[in-house]
Amino acid sequence: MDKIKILIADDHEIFRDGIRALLEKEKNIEVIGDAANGIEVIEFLENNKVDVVLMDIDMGKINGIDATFNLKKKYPDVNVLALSMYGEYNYILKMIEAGANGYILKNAGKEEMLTAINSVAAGGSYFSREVSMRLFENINKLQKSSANKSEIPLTNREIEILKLIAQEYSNAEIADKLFISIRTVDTHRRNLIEKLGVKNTAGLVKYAMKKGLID
Amino acid sequence: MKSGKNSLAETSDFLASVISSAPYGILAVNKEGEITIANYLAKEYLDLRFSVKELPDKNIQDCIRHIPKLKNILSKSLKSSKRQINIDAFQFGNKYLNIRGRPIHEGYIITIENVTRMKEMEAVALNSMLEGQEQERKRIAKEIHDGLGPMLSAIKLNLESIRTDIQSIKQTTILKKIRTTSSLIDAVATDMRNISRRLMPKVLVDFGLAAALENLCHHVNESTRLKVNFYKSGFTKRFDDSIELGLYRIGQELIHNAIKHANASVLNVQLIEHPESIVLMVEDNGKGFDEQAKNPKNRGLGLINIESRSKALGGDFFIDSVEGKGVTATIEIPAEIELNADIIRTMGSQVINR
Repeated sequence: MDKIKILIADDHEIFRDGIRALLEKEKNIEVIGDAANGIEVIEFLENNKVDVVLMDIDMGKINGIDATFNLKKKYPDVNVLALSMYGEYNYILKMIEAGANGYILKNAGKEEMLTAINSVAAGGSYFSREVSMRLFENINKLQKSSANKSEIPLTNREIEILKLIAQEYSNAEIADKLFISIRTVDTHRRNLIEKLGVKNTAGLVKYAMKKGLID
Repeated sequence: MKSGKNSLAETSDFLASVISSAPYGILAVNKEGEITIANYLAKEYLDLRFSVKELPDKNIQDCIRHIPKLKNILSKSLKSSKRQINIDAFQFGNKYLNIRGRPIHEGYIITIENVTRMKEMEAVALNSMLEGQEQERKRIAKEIHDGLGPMLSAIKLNLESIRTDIQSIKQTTILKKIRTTSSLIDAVATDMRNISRRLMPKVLVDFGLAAALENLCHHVNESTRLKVNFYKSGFTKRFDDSIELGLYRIGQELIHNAIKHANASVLNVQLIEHPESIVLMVEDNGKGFDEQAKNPKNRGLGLINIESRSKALGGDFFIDSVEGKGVTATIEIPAEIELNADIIRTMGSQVINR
């Protein structure tokens, strides 16, 4: 069986050396090169056949997200495994959009790294536990961005205020009832108008009626 | 007799010219509250609707009806003729005025000084200070993240590699020690990431305010017992760096306050884009605080920081609480800041002129 050919892309030499030392002992893996930024990745691919690129995100000159995007356009068969310090949803999503096949964090142990490399090399995908959790938590957002217009959820306090507005309570009366100041009631009212995309208080009343918030 | 009258006329001419050319607004009123002396700056600073010539004999309360707050203070002080007025940085329109009132034998005299420029300079100074602080934080965060981070990762990788070597010769005690060391490194790395994130969140720089606040809420949700909900409306585009960073810091402070003091179970963080402003609202369901604590003089350092940050962004900070009913903190700032560009320019030219 052919060895899995790996390119390590990270702007820190010390980290590249560490990965290299770790993977050297693996019989089915061969590190054939390293790159310090996105430009060097593309340059390397022009002359070498690579199975998996271990891609850092924060590399200064051409970051990992742009590098992955460029790479996938030119070499769709090269698999990209993101290896990043960042576990935030925003980075994960950007990397997936750019075409990455997997995403693990830099604190991954050796076993996880090997599992990820093997499954990505075989044409599959791999996301570490934290990464999958982050994706799962934001799954509703993924659906929302594909839907045209999403409704922004209201807080309990806002629903309370909306009901009172619909029952023709004045700002001062609402303030009294909810133990907040008139000024805060007014901010809530303006926030509601903005969140619901209506023009004025009449619009709020109409919305409340439509949603059955008035008895 | 004649000469006496002349010199009186001369004296009053002299007085009149002093009053009219004084760098302050001056208003004198008699015991009936009628204006006896007024100069042009008084008319200008208070936007009085009468000309300087028309002002004498007019009732002062009548003239300042359009400034209810001042009218209120003045009517109280005029009633008891011993009361002084000392108002610093009274906000009227886009002006800041220092107003002083002193009882005199024939009534009351009021001076009005325009300190708008001074106030704006303070804002510029405050901004530069905050900016310097942020630059420093950014530098430290970068050093931790770029310098220590990769080094730690490399140590861990080397350790993993040693572990593989030892595994083959079956040294269980050494293996155990290596496992412990490895988890220690993980703990240090996590701490380091957290410090770096607190100093300058990379998500804020890369993805903007809404993403950064959302991540912060998420982080608090995971590491504390507080349930934090994040809501946003708008925010499809990025805002000026100073707005994003400023509001992020304010959000950070408010969330921190809620964790530390509120004894709350739920925290709602809302970031709403309005046509001309941005509202950040943080509500908790905790123990709240009473009237006394609401007094700006009793505010802790955290709230003072928020106050000065929102001021630096040209915005308003408002806090609302009743004991036992939670706290609602609202910051509203203009969506576009024209950060006193004129003043910075004149300050610059002053330096050059010297």
